[in-house]
Amino acid sequence: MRPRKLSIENFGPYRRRTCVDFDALGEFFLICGPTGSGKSTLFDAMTYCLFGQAPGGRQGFEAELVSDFAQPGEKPLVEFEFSLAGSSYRILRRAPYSKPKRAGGFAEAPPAATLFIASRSSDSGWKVLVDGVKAVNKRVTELIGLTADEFNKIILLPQGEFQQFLEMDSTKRSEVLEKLFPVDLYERITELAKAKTQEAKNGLSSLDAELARLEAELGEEPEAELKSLREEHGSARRTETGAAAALGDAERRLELERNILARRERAERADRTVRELLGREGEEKSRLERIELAKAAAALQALSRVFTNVLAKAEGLALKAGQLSGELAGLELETAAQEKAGQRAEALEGELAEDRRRLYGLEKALLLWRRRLEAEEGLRRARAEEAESARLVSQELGRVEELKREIEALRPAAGEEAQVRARLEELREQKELLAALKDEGGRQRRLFDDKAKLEEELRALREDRRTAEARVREAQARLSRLEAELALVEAANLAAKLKPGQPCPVCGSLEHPALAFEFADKKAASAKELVEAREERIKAASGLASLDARLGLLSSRMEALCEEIAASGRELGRRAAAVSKIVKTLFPGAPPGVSAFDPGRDMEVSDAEEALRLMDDLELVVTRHEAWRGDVEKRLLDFERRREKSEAEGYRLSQALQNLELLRSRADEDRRKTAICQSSLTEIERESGSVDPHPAWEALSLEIQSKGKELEGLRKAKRDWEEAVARVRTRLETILPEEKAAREELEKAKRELAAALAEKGFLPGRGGVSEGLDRALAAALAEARKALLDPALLAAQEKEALAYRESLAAARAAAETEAAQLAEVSGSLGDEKIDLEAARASIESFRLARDEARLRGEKLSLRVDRLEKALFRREGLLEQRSRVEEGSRSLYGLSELLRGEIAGRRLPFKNYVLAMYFREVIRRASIHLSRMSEGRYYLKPEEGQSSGRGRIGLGLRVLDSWTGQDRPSGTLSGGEKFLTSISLALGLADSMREQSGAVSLESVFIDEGFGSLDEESLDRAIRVLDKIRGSRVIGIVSHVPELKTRIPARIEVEKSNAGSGLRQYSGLRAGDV
Amino acid sequence: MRFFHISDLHLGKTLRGYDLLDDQSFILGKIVEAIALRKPDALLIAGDIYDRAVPPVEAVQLFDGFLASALQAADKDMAIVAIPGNHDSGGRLGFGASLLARAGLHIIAKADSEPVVLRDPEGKTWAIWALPFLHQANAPWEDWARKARRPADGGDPGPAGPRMRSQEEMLGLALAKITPRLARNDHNIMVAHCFAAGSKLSESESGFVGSAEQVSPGFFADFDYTALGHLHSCQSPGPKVWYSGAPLAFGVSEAEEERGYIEINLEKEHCRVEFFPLAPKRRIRRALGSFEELLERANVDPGRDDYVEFQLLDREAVMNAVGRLKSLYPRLLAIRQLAFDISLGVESGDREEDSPAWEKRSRGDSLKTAKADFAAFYREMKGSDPAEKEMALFEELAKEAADASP
Repeated sequence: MRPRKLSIENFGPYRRRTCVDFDALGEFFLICGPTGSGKSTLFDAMTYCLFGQAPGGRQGFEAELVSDFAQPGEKPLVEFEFSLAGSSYRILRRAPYSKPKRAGGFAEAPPAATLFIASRSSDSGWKVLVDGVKAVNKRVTELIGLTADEFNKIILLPQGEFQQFLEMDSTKRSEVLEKLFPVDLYERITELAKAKTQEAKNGLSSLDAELARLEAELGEEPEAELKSLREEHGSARRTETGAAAALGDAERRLELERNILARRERAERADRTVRELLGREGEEKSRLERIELAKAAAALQALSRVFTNVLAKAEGLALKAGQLSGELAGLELETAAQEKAGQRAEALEGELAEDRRRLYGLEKALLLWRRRLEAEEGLRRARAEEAESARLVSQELGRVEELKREIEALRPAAGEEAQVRARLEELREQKELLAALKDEGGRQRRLFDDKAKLEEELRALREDRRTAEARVREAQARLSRLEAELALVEAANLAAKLKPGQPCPVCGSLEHPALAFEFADKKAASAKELVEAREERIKAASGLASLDARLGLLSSRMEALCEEIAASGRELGRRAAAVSKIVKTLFPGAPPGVSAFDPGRDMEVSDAEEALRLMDDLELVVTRHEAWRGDVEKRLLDFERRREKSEAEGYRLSQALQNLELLRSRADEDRRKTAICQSSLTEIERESGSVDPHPAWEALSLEIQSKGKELEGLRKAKRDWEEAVARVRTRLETILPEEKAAREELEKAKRELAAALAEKGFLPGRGGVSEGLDRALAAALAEARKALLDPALLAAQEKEALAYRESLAAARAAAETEAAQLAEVSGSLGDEKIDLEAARASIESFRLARDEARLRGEKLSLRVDRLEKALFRREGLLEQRSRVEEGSRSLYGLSELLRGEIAGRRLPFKNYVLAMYFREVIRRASIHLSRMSEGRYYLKPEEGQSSGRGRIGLGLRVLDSWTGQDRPSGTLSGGEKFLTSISLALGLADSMREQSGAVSLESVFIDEGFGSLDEESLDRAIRVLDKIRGSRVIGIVSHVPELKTRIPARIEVEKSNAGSGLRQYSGLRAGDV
Repeated sequence: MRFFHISDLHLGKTLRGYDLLDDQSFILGKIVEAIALRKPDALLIAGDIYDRAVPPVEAVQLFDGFLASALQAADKDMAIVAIPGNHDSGGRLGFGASLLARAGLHIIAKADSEPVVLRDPEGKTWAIWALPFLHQANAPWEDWARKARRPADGGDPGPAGPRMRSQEEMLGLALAKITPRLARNDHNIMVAHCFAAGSKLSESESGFVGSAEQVSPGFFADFDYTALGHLHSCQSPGPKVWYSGAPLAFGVSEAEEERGYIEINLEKEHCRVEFFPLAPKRRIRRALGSFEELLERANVDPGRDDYVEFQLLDREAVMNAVGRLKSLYPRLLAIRQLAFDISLGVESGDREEDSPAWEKRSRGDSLKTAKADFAAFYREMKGSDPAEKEMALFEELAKEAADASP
């Protein structure tokens, strides 16, 4: 099916009548517009127009159809024109709408539809095929072979749904495939096989019942009965045959006798006829003689006509010969004039030959002259080219020279650069020396700083030590005091505890004198105080010790530092001496204020002040040195720059040299060309001379022309005269012999006529031929004319004579035949006498005997027949039964096979075929996909399921060339999925096109999905689509505006406040390279 | 007078996802070198400067740089005449055209623009006419057609919108405006973007060119030279009419073709046209061989930077070919595997033949189809061909089933 034209009015977002001319859009076009502008409404309209229902069977669709923009009472109309299988159809459909009533208000108007077919006979080109909504819907479904839903799925490929197909499971896919491919036949076959198996079983049992009935009817031994009956019948037949033979004989005899009697009568009649004819013999003889004479006279008549003709001819010829002789004499009179004209012509010819030779010479000169002009022009051109190329060469040469000069100028003086480099190197080394000196100076300053710090620290430390010593002393004093006090208190305590008579725990004395002193009020120092005093003393002592240790450490560090300062001073001196040489070169005169580097001095720097001074001087030196080194480096950089520039110039020079080479070769060639032109011109000039031969040539040409004309006239006159003479002579020469021959012929004819007349007896005597012959001839001719008969009369007489002779011969022959036949018939009878009555009687008796036998035979035959038929029927039934049994068996086998229940498997025929279709779809889709993905992706059916139990293999895998592996289709990216689903759609369409039963997909609309592609893939997809679409029409539905620049034939749907409208850019394509 | 003729730069084009800007920049550099050497009087750019109507910024910058360095390299008054092709947006490209013309850059985006007139040392005038790619929007075609007193095609354009005109029709109308003015100049050059009949197409030009879009090269007979753009290989569809072709190849199948620019030397009646091929920075090519061979070759391949499409000839599918190859060839375009084509029965992608099993099926005769399907099914289930009797029985059933169907 191929859509051709769609027009809608008051439909969806379209209020105004809107047309899409698919024919004008060509075979590849775009339907675009923003989302919601009504692109898919076009397809809804198409589907609605065809089937009267919405795709997807949406309820209440018809009510939605009427445009919201339509005024009440405006009819929603759809008109769709399409071609299918070579015919064009048109459907006009009106959706239900509110129709204004005459009395006011609105009534619901029902839908209406009409289907037309293109017809030449009709004025409008269309003929109504079907009218009415139901009839149209039915007819369209028959025509297209699809329901509204299927139609929408296949003709309008919603890319999204194929993506769904891509992602469906096997069962769902099988449902879709079943809709698309005509597999219901296979299902019906399977059903039928089952039903037939059952039917065969039923047939078998009914056969068995009938057989049983027949057996009962036949009795015990039907074969023996049949045999005896047959024998009886045979004898009856024999009797009948005998009687019939006798009857036949008798009848034949009777017939023979009747025949003989008839023959006799006929023989007698023939004899009579012969006799009558013989009686007319004499009369016939005289009639023959008369005929002979008339014939002779007629012959003579012809001869005399010949004679008359010859005479007239001879006379005519004589007259003509006389005329021609006269004419010839007249022509010969002109001979002298003709000779004179001939002489003039010869003279002219001579002159002309001479003139032509001259003309040829002049033409050669002309040619040379023209070549000379051309050569001069060529030389001019070549010189100009040569000059131009020489100019270019010199220009380029100048450029080359200039470049060379520039390069030369840029080249640095030999050795200069090396010198500068060496100097720089030297300066760098010196810089290092200076830096080393500076470092050492810095180091020494740091050492002096350290020494000062150390001295300060030592001073402070010594002070601390003194304080610490005092503290130790104080602590010791306190401790001693506390210990003494304690001893006293303890002694007192002991004494207080002593009892007289008990030994003292200290000295063992049993006597205890009284206390030497009173200490009751004396309080002993507490243990705590004592411990504190002790600790105090230890702390003070250890503080002193640590101060002593630190003092020792710092003193030794001081010594080391002093040593280091001395060493550094020496080093500084050494380095300063090394630098002093540089200083001398830097400050050739007396170094202004740079005293430290007096080379004569012993360089040992030992105090800080001196070092400071040295450093100040060094700063001055370094600054000066830096400046110097900067100069040298700048000079070196300058060299680099010049070299770079020189290299660039060198490159340009090489380019220029190449160019120069080219130009030189061109110049050489141009020079060579000029030389060639020059030499050829010289050559031509030598040949051509210096006079323009044109005027001479023109004069001569004119003269030759006039002479030629004159000569032509003379020649023509002479030719005419000569021709006339020759013509007359020729005619005279032919006519004279003719005349003579005619005379001779005349003589001969005369003689022949005389002889013939004499022979026929009309001319008496033969002697006087010469004298008076003519007269005698005339008389004889008159005589002969009298004997003549009218030709019709003569013919009648001759016919009559012939008839007589023929009837006589016939009568004689008939008589002979009859006689012979009679003899033959009579001979077969012999001598017997003929008695017709007796023969008839015997015939009658034989017939009676025969009829009786026949009656009996027939009765017997009837019985035999009945018995035989019964037996035959039994046999037939038995045979039929075995056949039906056999058939039932194979039907059963087939049925089982078709249901797929064999060897534990379950693969119904239908499912197998579906899987096959699927594989084919995938194969074709794979071809498309591999093209669209530049050979990257392929599709393949999933392996190993086609023979599984109850399932059909409708799984799908995507093969990736890049990785060499397959993967489920779900893992593709959006764009890839889009390409895959388009491939599937096209593969499906291809496969379906091959199938009977389904509508041929001449057009495919691909809905959306292009947004998921990048620029390049979009280009490729469109290109591949255009390439593989074959004869199909492809419409792409998209909101992607980019597509507009790629597909020129398009419909743009525009959206506005007052509903949508279309712009169609149709037919021709703007190309896209 | 000396002219350079280039076209179809397609700046900003991508090739299977690779940006070609670097290559395009390189080739434009070569053209600038040639300009510096040969100093042409004018550079003619015959359309398709950019690959898209709205080019990426980098492409615009590249073209900008090219124009500046070309003018500098010429170091005299060189005119640049450029027209938009079908890929360009005339409106965008033509921005500021009248201002730029003062600097020697003439962008001609309208079908009725004035010519660019140059003078040679002898004072003769050379008019360079230019027609952009013609379409509905770049001229008032309806007016022109009315003035030319040619009725459109008799019928009304209908409610569908303006009528689409063929290229030849539009070219005829545009040239009708130009032709009467040719005699005012001593010489006339034409720059245009169209598909001249009888020309050869390349792969990178999509097969979108209907015959209605072709124009006869005879249209340009009145010009001393016609510089055309649109087709990507250098060719001459008619006397003094030339396509310079694109300076770069854009597809694998174009790898063998030479691409470059045209130099035209015109003196009075004498016209010398020379094509100068340019070597690209990276080639676009196809490599064939077994996977092992290709890897082996890659070790010594100096063109690893090229844009390469691989065709693997192995009989077995190669696993993860992309991993190995992409590491060797960073600009890999595609990998095709012969093994897949073979295993799926699509050996040659161009043929759409039926598979053997499918082919046996008879189209349009459902009975024969059913028989063939049954035989295949029988083999699948029983491993042997059906006996004649079984086939006959099936046929009988199929016929009956088919007759019974509505």
